[in-house]
Amino acid sequence: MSFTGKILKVNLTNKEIKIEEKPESFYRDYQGGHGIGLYFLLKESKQGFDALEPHNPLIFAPGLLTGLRAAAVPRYVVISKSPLTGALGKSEAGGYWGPELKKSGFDALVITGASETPVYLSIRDEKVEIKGAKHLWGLETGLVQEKLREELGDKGTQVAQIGPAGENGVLYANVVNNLSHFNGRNGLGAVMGAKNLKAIAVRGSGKLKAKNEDRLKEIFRWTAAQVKEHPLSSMLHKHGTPAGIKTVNAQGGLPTNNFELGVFEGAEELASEEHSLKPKGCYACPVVCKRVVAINDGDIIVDKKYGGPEYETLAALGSNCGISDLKTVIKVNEICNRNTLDTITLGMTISFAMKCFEEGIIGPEDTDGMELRFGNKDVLIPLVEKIVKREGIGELLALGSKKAAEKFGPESKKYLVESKGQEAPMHDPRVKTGLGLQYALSVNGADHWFAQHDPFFAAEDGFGVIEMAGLGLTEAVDPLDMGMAKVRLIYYTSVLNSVYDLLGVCIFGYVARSLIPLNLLLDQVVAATGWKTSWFELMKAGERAIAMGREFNRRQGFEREADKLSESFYRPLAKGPFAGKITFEEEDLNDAVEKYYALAGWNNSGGVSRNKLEELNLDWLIQ
Amino acid sequence: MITVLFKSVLKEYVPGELDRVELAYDSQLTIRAVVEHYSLQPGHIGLVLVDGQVSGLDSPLHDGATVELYPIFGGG
Repeated sequence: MSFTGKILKVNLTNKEIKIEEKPESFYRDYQGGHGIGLYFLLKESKQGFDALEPHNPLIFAPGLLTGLRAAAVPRYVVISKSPLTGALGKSEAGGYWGPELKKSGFDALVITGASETPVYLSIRDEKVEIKGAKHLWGLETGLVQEKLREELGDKGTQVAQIGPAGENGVLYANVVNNLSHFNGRNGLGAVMGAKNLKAIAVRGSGKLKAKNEDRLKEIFRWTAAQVKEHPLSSMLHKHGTPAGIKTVNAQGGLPTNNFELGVFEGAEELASEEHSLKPKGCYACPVVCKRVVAINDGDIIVDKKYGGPEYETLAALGSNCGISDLKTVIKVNEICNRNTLDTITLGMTISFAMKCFEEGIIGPEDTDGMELRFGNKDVLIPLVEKIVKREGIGELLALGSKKAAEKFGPESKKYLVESKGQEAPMHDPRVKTGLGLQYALSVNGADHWFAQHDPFFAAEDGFGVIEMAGLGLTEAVDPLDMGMAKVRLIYYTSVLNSVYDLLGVCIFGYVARSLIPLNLLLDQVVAATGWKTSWFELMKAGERAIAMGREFNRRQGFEREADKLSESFYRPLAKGPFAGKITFEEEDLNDAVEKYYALAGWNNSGGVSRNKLEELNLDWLIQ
Repeated sequence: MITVLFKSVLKEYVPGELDRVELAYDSQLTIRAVVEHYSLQPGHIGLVLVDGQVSGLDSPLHDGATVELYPIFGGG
C-alpha cells in the first residue's frame, strides 16, 4: 500500500509523542500532501492566531504516492499558518526527505507547541526522540547535516532543517532537505525557528509496497526511456529551468527592475551554463533536472553541495534587481541556501527597496549607507548577510516588502508586487494573464503553480490542449485573454495541480510541463492503492483540498477583498514588446475572479458554500 | 532568402547544432513546415518572431525575412 495509516504527532511544549491511526477511507478523502496537512491544520488550530506563537501547527506530509518507486513523485508539503502573509502557508519540496518519512512508517508529521530550548527531532522507524540542539543552533545547513549524520551514525539519514535565517525569524525563511531541495515559500522556516526546532532527521528501514508493483515498474521504465525523447523533459534534463530565461526575455515578460521592464539586457549572461555541473535529481525521478553549480576563482567560491540557481532565482536576484553578473547571483543563491532564505521573496524585497531608493522615498540614511540602485551588484551580498542576521536595514527587510512598505510610507506602496502579502514569482501576468488569476486566487499568496501556465494552451497543437483534452480543455486559449475560456482553464488546472500536490507529483515530470500523461498517473494511483478509482474521484479530492485551504483562510480573516493583485500589474510595462500596452484592467481581473468563484461553488465573499462543503464530504467544516 | 535562428536549446534539433539556417525563399514556405522539417513538435515552440515582431507558425513569410524560434517555457 502507498500509505501506512499512521500519523506521527509531536508536542514540543510537553514533549508528548503520539501515533494516530487513520482508516483507508481517510486516505480516499484526503489522499496525502496538503489534503492531510490541511485536515490537521484545521482540526488543531483556532480562529485567528499569530503564526509565530506555539499554537500554530506545523505539518509535514508526503504525497499519497511518495515513497514508492513511482516516476517523479518525490514530494512532500509543509503546511502551517504563514508568518509572512497571515494566510495559509503551504510549500512543496522534492528531494529525499518525504520518501524517507514514509519508509519510517508515517504518512505525516504533525508538530504542535514549542520547545523552550533548541531541539531536533530524530525519527528512526517508530523510534522517535526529541533531542537537544544547542550545539547545532546558529550553524549553517551544510555543517548541521554533516553533524547530524555523524551523531546518528548513519550517512543515509535525511535531514529537513532550518538555517540561521529561520532561527532569527526572517519571515521568508524556508525549510531545506538534502541541502538543495526547498519548501521555499511562505516563511515556514520561521515557524520552525519559533518552535526552537532546528531539524528533523529521518531514517526508515521499511519499504512501501504497491498493490501492483509490476505496473509501477512498467511506467517507471517507460518514463526513463522517454525522458530524453520528449522535448520538454529532455530540455529540463539537459538544461534545467534556467533555459527559460531567453524565451521569457524575448517574449517581453522577464521581470526586470522590480517588474517595471519586461526585457533585460543581461539576460544572455544570466542564462549562461558556464558554471553548471552534471544535474542532480530527486528520489525515483528519471528527469534529473536540478541544477548544480560550482565556482572557485579566488574572489568567489561556491560549493556544489548547495545546488544552483533555478529560473526563479536567476530572475529574482538577477534581472529583477537589474543585476547581470552571474557569479554574484550564484554566490547569493548559495548564501541563501546555507541560511535557508526564499530567493523569490528576498529578490522581490530587495528590488522593492531599490525602487524606493531610486524614487527618493528612502535614502542612504535608511540603508546603512548602501546605494540601493538597480544593477548595483556590490550591495547584494552585504544586504543578504544583514537580512539573515536582522541587522540595520536587514531588520526591516527581513519582514518582506509589504511590511517594509508600512515603514517606508504610503508613497512606496504603489511599487509593491505581491498578493496576500507574498511577493510575486517571476512570471508577469501582463504577458500571460492566467498568472494574474493564479496570484489573486491562490490561498497561499502569489504562487506560480496554483494552476498550469498559459503558453501550453496557446494553440490547438500545444502540449496543454493535447494532453488535457480529457479533462475538458479542448480549445486553445489566447495567453492575453481574460474571459470565460481563461477562467475555465485556470479553474480546471488549479484542481489538477491540487491533485498533483495530493499525490506528491513533481510538475517537472508530468503534463503539461513535462512528459508523463494523465492516464499513466491514474494507472499509478490504481497500482499503488488497488482502488477502483477514476479521474473524477481524484479531481474531487483536489477540489476538496482547495476548499479546505479557503476555509482556513476565511477563519484567519481572508475573504473576497484578499483575492486581488498589486496595482503595479495594472500599469503597462515600460520596455519590450508589451511596452505601453494594457493587457487587462482591474475590473477584468475582478470579473474573472468572480467567475472562478461561481465555477468552484464559492459564495460572493469568497467562502466555500454550504452545498459545496456538503458535496465534498466536508460537513465538519460547517460552522 | 529566409534566415531562421534557432534560439536557446532548439539548435540541438538542427544537424550540426547550427543556430542559424538560411533557406531559399519560396512563397509556399511556412514556419510550420520549417519546424516540422527539423522534427520539432509545434508545441515545443513557445515564441516565433519574424523581423522582431511576434508571429505565428502559419504567418506568411516574405523574401529576406528573419525568423527567430524560441522553445516554450512556463513555470520555473
